[in-house]
Amino acid sequence: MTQKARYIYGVIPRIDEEDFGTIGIEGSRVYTIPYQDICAVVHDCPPEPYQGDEDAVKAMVATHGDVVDAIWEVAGSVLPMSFDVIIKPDEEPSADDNVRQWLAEEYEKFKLKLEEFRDKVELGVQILWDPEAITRRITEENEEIKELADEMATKSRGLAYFYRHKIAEAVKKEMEAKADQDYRRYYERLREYAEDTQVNKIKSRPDKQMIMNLSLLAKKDQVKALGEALGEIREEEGVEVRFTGPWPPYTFAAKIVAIGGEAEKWE
Amino acid sequence: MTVEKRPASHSLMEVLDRVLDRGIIIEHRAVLLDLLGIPLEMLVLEERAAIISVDTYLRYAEAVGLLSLEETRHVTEYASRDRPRAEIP
Repeated sequence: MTQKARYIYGVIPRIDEEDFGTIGIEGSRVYTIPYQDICAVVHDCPPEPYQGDEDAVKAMVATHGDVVDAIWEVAGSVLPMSFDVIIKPDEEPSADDNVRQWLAEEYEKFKLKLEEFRDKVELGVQILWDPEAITRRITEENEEIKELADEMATKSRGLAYFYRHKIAEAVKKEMEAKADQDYRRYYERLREYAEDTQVNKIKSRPDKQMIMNLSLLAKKDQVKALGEALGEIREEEGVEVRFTGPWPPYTFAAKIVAIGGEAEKWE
Repeated sequence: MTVEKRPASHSLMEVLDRVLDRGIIIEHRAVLLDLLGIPLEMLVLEERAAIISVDTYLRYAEAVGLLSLEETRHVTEYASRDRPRAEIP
């Protein structure tokens, strides 16, 4: 199999170390292709995307993540690539030429971002509700809903059905209002501890209702205060906080749209 | 109070989410993911647009004893992968 293409893990500031050993996908040797004072971290691969069954892809993606972690640690800053970004050779220029050309074209942007991300970490914050606990809180605090529930208890089966519907509607309205209110309150509070934030889409979790999915780019010395703020939020009844990291800045690097001159779509 | 830090049980899912969904891209991702031959939803958790789900009503009903729910729920399980991580100070 020809190994003429280059799989890209990320871009880092140029460092003395040029060979990271066989830590790459499928045991590939990971090394750097420098351009001025930055470099791409790559392995040699055939000019086609990696594919496989679900488990194989999961393993490759996990390895990609491990390599990005490793180069981040050594270089102090990294622009992580997404999975399966491969630069191919053309007829005349080699893949290495194409990688260097790509770095040259993006140089100023990459350089700026590498500086910006230095000594910063990405943190994931997800705030989730226990729907049952929140519903209980709302029913306890909301007079209208309390009255409806009391009335329902005295009604016949048929009428109770109607009341149940009314209560569900009222709870839904209250929950939406509360989710909106809490979201704003949390966001305003948390953004103080970060240099940049990115609001991600809400994702479903079994048994939990996510109300916020936030990525924060924080200076290392902001992390403690952020953790303390989240600890306070977690004290609120029915609220769960998931705080993950430190991550390489995947989310914030994704804001850089890199269109390499020699890159092409896989057809 | 200590805050949960990059928990091992969700770690691979978080890695998948970041490495597949984020990071710098050059090519058009949709094309690549399609080529992987597996449905995207198997890798990235289902997105839910609405804040309040049907589950919420059902749970309310359950909580006040209106319904006995035997809800079947399809949850894609992700293999947990132990990723010890430096503690956030």
